[in-house]
Amino acid sequence: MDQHPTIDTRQTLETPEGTDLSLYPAGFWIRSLAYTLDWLLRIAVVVVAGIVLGASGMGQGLTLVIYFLMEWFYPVIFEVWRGGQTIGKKSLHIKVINDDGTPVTFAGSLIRNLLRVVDFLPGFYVTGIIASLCNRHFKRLGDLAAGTVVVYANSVAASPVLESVGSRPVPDGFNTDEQRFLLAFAQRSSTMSPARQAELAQVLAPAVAPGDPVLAIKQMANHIVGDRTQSAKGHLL
Amino acid sequence: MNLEQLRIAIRPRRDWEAVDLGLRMAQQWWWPMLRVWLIITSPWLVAACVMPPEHQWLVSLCLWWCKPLFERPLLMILSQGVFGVELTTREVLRATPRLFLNQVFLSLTWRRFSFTRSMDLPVIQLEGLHGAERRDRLNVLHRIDSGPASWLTIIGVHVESFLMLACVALLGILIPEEVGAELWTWGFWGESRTGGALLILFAYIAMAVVGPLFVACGFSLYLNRRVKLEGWDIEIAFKRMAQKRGLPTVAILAIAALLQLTPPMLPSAQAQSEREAVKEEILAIKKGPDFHRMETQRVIKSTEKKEEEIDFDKGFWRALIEFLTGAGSLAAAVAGIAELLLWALVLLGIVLLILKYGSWLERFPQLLPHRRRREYRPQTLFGMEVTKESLPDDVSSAALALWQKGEQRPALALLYRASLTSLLTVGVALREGSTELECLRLAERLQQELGIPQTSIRYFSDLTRAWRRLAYGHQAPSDAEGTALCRDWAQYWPEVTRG
Repeated sequence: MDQHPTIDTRQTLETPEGTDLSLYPAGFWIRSLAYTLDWLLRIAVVVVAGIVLGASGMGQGLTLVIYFLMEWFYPVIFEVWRGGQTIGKKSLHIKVINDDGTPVTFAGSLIRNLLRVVDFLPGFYVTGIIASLCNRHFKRLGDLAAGTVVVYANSVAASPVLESVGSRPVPDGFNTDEQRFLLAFAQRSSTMSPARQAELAQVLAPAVAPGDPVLAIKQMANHIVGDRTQSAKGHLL
Repeated sequence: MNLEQLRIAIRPRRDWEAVDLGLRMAQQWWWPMLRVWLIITSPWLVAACVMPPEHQWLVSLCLWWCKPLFERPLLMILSQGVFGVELTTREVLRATPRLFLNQVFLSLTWRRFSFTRSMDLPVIQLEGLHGAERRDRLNVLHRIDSGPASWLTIIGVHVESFLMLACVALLGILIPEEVGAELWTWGFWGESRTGGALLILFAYIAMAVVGPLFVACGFSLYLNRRVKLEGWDIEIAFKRMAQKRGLPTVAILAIAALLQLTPPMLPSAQAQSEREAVKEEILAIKKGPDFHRMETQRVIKSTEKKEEEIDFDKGFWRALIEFLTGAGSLAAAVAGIAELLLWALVLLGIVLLILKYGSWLERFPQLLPHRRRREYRPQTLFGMEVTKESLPDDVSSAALALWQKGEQRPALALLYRASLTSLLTVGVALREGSTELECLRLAERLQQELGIPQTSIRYFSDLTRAWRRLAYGHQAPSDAEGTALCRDWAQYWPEVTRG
């Protein structure tokens, strides 16, 4: 039944060391928010410069220079020297990187930002939005030309701590991936109703017998993370 | 239901990442969704075309107002699609009336303005909840990771208008000015029938593009919330583990429940008549303006109005410019202060530059003004101190004493150092970094000007040669020569010893 590839945003790269690196490309919704933030910021800087400097001829010239730099080099400077993040991108936890996972280079950043002109056509970045909808990694034309991609910079929120319900060893035959899901069950049980927990644990009941499967899996999770201090209490339960 | 048929990767995601999964889903089911959307909205488009121009806005408003209804069949395609069930357009259209009627009154009245519409739709359509149950369910779903739902609506509205404006702009770019269509007049867009029809068409295109994205992203947010709340990924993993171990599989599964809650299909008996209906609707669309070349070029010239507009424009811009350039006294004062500050900044910059690079400047005395060049006096040359204070009172005897002790190098060094000091004293502007030959040449050049005796220069030349041989070639002068140099020093350079 696996004739279709699974739909996901995750892109997995294999590093030279043989480990997998996961990238999560960001779509146009959050990127347009980040852009709006940056845009407001740039406008504010130019307007303030215009008010303060605008009176004299030299000041007007300077304002134009500031406007030019803001328009063309604000993103480049931030992307190259601030870890791929303009202020807007940083506040929304996204960043620009090369599509091989390395930090974005000056040339790459310059190309992707110069090509904003094209992505803007015929107005309001409509070309960029449509281009980003036409490929899997949500790249606008500038990203395609520069070989860059905008990805999430933060990780999924850390899981809450495990309950102290004692520990018991994991039975034979649970491989690493399977143990990871036993752990995930215990970590996320605080967000699930008791009925749902019982329902899920029931699926594995014969494999984790004896006793209440919910408790058994939680105790195994404690064992997996190395908390064996309460094993005596666990056995009593 | 077979979990292997799940078309999307199930795992807990960040909120915005879930929205992006929605974009991937929209890419996957783009054409089925767009097809259905175009078909069910076509009556509105047809109505807009046949209406007299003054009532066209009513049709547009109606189309916009009913958007929540048009989203429902799209959600149906997606909710079945993620479980590997590809519905045909006919199946979806057959289910559409039933989907429309579900809580239609609430959806089109005050819920029409809900910002989280896209994320809430699955609760009424897939879970079939209403009233207090629905409200409680929404409270649970909105607790976390639902921030993007409102943003979807806000950004969606903007993207929709941007798309529409972009269509207008594209038209403006593509039509040469010579055609004289007067694209940039209010008369064209606001009053002519062509302009009105074009605007409706553009709005329609924009809605058709944004609609599927909006539904898919909202649905994805909803799914992500349930994946987290109910541990779908854990369920899938546990079930695989159970299958691997040959355990009996448990039937009660939340994901299956979602599938069952979608409206059941009607039997396919009406397929033929449905096909006819669809065909008719397609033909109706084909009769519409989209499929015909519009060649009407109506030019409305209302010169009075134009002048008024221009006047308004001029007045507005002049006022703005006057305001910005500060014709008022306060603004002028602020501007004056700003200019002063600006010049102060420039001066400060120059001063900083001099402070930072001043010492560097001293290596090039010829750059200094003449007076300062005279006054300028390096403290060391070739790493040797060249101040009067560092010299012994009687240079000749001190050097001779060193020479006789056999310390030839210190002796000549003392003589050379003392000579340089003397040259500096009479005003030869030696500089740090000169070579010995440069010092000599400078002394020779300035000899006339400064009135240095010819003999002194000749002595300095001899001394320089001897010093260079000793210092770099390690060839000491003969004993007689060395002694002579030591003895003669006082004779040729009397100034220093005299103080």
